[in-house]
Amino acid sequence: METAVGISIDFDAATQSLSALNAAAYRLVGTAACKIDKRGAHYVCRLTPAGQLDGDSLRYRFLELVTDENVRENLSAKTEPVRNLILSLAFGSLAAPSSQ
Amino acid sequence: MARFLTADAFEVPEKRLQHLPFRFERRGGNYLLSNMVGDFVVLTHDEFGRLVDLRVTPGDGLYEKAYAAHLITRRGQQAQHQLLALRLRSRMAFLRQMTPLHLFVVTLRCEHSCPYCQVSRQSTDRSRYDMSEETAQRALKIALDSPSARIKIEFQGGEPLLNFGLIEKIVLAAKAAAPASGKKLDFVIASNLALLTDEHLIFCKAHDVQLSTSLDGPADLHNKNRPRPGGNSHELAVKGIRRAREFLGSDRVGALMTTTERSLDRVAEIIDEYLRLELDGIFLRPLSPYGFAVKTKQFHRYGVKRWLDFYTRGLRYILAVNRAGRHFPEFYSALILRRMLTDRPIGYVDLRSPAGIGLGALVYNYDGRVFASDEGRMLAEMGDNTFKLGHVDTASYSSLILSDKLINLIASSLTQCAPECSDCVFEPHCGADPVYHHATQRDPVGIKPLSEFCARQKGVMSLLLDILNNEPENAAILRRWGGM
Repeated sequence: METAVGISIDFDAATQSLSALNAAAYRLVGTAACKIDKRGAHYVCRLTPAGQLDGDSLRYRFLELVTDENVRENLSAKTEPVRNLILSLAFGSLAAPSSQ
Repeated sequence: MARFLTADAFEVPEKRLQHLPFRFERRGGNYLLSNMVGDFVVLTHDEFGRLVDLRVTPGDGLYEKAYAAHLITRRGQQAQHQLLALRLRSRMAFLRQMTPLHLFVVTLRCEHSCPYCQVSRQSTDRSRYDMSEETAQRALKIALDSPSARIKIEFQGGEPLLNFGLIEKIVLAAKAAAPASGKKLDFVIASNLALLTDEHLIFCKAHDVQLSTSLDGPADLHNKNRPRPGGNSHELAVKGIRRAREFLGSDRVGALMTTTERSLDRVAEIIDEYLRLELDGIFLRPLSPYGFAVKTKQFHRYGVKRWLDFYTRGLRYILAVNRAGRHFPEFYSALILRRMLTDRPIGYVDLRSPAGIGLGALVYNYDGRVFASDEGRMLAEMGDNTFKLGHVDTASYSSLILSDKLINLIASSLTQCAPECSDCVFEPHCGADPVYHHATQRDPVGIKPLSEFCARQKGVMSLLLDILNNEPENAAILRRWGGM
């Protein structure tokens, strides 16, 4: 929905994480301000452009960012164990023994 | 009779594959990815989708591409984990050399009046802005207590040659004390060279002291940027560079330029001036948000887009010089390329995470205050003591480095954890700059979408990647700069 000063986009809270929405909103800082509210089973994101970006372009950009953040969250959850393993292989020997 | 197995026997079921950690961002219609140690790969939209879903098979091209780039692995396989761990440890090994750089601000006096001066210099007749011998000795003790096997002592100002007597004492005292501490020493004087004498050169030669100076470009540009009584800063700088190169050796003298608004349309002339003086390369530096650069509003005269345009034109011009047969690197590009193309540990204090404040450098001000970086000292001259760590009269190396203040500043600015940085494809080759972000956004982490530091880093790395991937002749030059 486009208002006089921005647009609103709804997301189903059952399938869309709040943290991904926040991360996408952060990437838009400087381009648009984003206010996220929860209404019932939905997150409503109200986007107010900072410059000349029109509603359709802003919507498209935000949806792309949200999609990317969802992929990042998914990958991060899957790769966290192996990431921690690699970090412990790299730097674990620097840790002091627990007896110390 | 033995038979070869069919290709089916070597297929890897999807469930046997798993992702290794990687980052990505969209680039036009494609995706740019980097693995845990910053190796880059470009995938199409379709390839990226297949990679995310692990719809890859040996022989399909994408499997090989993703495997070689350490984006995927087979369950139960350990070699890639070990390799990534080894590379990561190599890249971070600069942390083993703690505080290798120590800056001594021997005076705040200077006979130049550069409007972009970052150190808020004082006029030459105010001798209370000189470092005392007692302060210098205390500072030297702290420097020699750093664990690094090799330290560089850099003399800064103002114009350090105005207090050359103290420089001589510090160098001699450091060399006398170094054997007991088992350290190797390097010395540099950062000077405008306008006051350079034979006496200075003889001392520098005898004690292997290098010189670093400022050269902003051709005479009219340099003199406009760097006014002094007589208006002859360029003439004296060039004379000093030539004398020093002849007496000390061409590899013992370096020059740095600062980009002001006047410089933006003259990058070729600036580079030509460096070539004319047979300097080894150039560092295309932007203006920093400190000291007189802010007071005289120089810092706000141009933004990152204009600087990136300046840098791009400069880099293209320099590449043409190299293609014509002369080795002449752009030093900042060379540094980034070493990060991108090798796993050599690079502790360049302004581009690393954990940040280089304190861990990479300490600054001993003329009045005994100790700062976490030169930029932190510059902020203090503007009334902001956020990066002041202590005073040589009361502090030790340990108390400075282990202070809650320093640890909190470093910990809070780690790019590995910062919003957007932690997911950025360029993070393995970038760094934290808490001083810059504090100066411009009053926060050591900064809001990266608003950060000109971030935009500059991304712009430089994107351009270099683009050249590496699409321009073979220029890519070969960049690889040489990167040490490959």
